[in-house]
Amino acid sequence: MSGTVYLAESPFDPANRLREFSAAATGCGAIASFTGVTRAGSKAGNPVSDLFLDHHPRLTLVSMREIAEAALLRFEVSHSEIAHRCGHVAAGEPIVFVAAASAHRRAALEAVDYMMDRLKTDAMFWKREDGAGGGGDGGRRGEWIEPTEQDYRDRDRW
Amino acid sequence: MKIIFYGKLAETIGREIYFDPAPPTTSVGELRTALAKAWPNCADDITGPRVKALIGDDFVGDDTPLDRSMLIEFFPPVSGG
Repeated sequence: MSGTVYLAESPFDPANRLREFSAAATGCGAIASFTGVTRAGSKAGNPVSDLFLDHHPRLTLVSMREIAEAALLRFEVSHSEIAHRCGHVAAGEPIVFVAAASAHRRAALEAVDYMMDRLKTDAMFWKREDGAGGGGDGGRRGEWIEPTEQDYRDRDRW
Repeated sequence: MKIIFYGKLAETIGREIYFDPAPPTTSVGELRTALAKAWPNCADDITGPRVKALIGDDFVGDDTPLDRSMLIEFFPPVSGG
């Protein structure tokens, strides 16, 4: 069993991540993945130029690792992976990539769903949506995002 | 003592501060109160239950004795994914 996590300070290519994950998950009959992308608009309808993801120098990776390993233990998956950005992520860029591999599809699909639900509420990041010009260089600094009630309900169903 | 903040607390107060609360500030809870007094615009957050305090790799409660030689970190609610 193998749980892999990556904390990326610069843009990553989810297609590349999937390619490498699939190559490592030899013999598995099912490979499932999800990519989360920064949207160009907030829920309130404000334009978002980028997301700022604050993180902890030690515990962010620890929290990601715990989630990836929990998926291995809970579902019949042999491989799990989480790649997550930190820092400034421009609208349209991937924020997170999650993948799982198993003998049959149900476990892989559920493991991906589980890891995303856990990441939303338990991964040690702090997210801010920034407007045109970017928050780091004098543009509109937006709201810090917290998990919604739906996010907590999604996590609690596992 | 050295204090590190994350998320919106870092934005309001700063990533890293050296803070010497007036005595008697002997517990984490009393430190939160002192910080709230110094930064009243985030008083509700810093003293509220949703902000967690970390010493080393452990989250600690308000009754934890304060050791001014140690680093303490404050975490607002997390959100990833």
